[in-house]
Amino acid sequence: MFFNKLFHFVKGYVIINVSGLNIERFLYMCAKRSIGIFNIGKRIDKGVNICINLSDFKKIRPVVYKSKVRICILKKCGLPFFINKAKKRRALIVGMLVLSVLCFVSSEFIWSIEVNSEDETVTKELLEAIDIAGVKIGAYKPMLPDGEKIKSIIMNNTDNIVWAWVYIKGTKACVNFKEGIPAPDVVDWSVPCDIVAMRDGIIKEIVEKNGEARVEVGDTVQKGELLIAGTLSMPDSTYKTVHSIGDIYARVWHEKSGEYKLHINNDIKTGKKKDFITLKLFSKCFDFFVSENVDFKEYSIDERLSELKLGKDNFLGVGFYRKTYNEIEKEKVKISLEETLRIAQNDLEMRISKELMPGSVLSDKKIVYEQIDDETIKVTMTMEFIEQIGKKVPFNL
Amino acid sequence: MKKGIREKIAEMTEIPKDFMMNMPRVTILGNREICVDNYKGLLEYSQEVIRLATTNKIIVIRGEELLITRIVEEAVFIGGNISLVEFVSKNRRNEQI
Repeated sequence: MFFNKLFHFVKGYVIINVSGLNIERFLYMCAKRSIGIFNIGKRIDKGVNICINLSDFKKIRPVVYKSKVRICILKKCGLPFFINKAKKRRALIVGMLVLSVLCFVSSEFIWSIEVNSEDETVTKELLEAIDIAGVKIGAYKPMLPDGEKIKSIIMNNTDNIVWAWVYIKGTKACVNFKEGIPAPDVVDWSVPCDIVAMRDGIIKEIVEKNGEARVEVGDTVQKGELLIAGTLSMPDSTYKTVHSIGDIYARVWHEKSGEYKLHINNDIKTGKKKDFITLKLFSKCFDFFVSENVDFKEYSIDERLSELKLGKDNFLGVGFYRKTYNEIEKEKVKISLEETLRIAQNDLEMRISKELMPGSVLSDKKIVYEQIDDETIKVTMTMEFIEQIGKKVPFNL
Repeated sequence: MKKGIREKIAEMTEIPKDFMMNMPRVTILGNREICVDNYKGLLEYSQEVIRLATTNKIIVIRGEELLITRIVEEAVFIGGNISLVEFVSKNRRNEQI
């Protein structure tokens, strides 16, 4: 159906109204003489509306005479008529030509750079490196150095990148890279050191590899207390210093508390909003506003970037950035005690997890709450972990 | 019904009857679409009834919102809500299907 319509549009057609007594004869004669008629409309008092191919239009004159009907042109449709009209509008043609040339020319430049990294420092480092290589916003694509050269420039100007490649997708430059695995720490055995406790706890297990343990399983230790000594007493009342190595596992308790409300605040949009639009033209930004003044007491921000693209990656250098401030009102919604405790637990677990050492194993947890007033509860969470609490502290002789 | 000589020859030689006897071939798709090949003329066209002339019969199509979707030399395509298709002899003897 679509291709049929497209075919008719390209060839051009005329919608005519046929009226008179012998409409049926007219239709049959058209069919017999291979005159392309289609989309024959409903028969109404004023006759029938039919579409006729532009190339066959002149052939209907004898048919009209013979069948004694009257025809009236209602509409001329299709590409030939459009071209005919457009011929008179030279500015439009020039505009279209200029637009297509602009599209073509602007697709020959790099308009956006994408680095697939979550680490901002790595991204910054890479962007600086590719900038040195000549890959920057507004760079002319055919003038870019070849991939191997860009790769070597990136690797020479970055610290921890072992491989990198810049893929040009349309007008976008995508930087793919691989970070090197850091070399393991080399133990300097010549530096004598002690192992002390990083936090309070009860010793659960001692793995002593070098040095002399000064605590036993079941001992309570405090932060800063000596666990493995690097000073060994010799039988001849002298002493020897060593580089202590060992893991001390202890039961450590972490406790956090906080006050939580028995309701949550839902944001409801009042419908008032304010838009701030910025025109992004190639690598420059032009604001369509003087200052970003918002009178709303509380608001949420929606950001939207619309870019003119040819296909998926061919950004043509023109885009709009719209920042919308929506006024919101807070609405209190009551929640159950269980729900509040669940929220509190998530929050407290998150806070405790920031203090933990790598490799900590949870062995127990306890949550208690007390009512402060009708709307507030105080939640205290205690979590017990088995942690490695030893830390090397070098000492001077 | 008496068979004509052309029909007898068509049966004997197994040549398609529509070719041999110049008969119309009517294809109906549900009650939404009908295609009549080998018609000889359009006699009446309205939203309720369409009459088509064939070699020896008149095909009357009745229904609602009937519309000729396409008409070419050999065939006519009719759409709409078709309720009845009649073969009317030129001597007015009806054969309903």
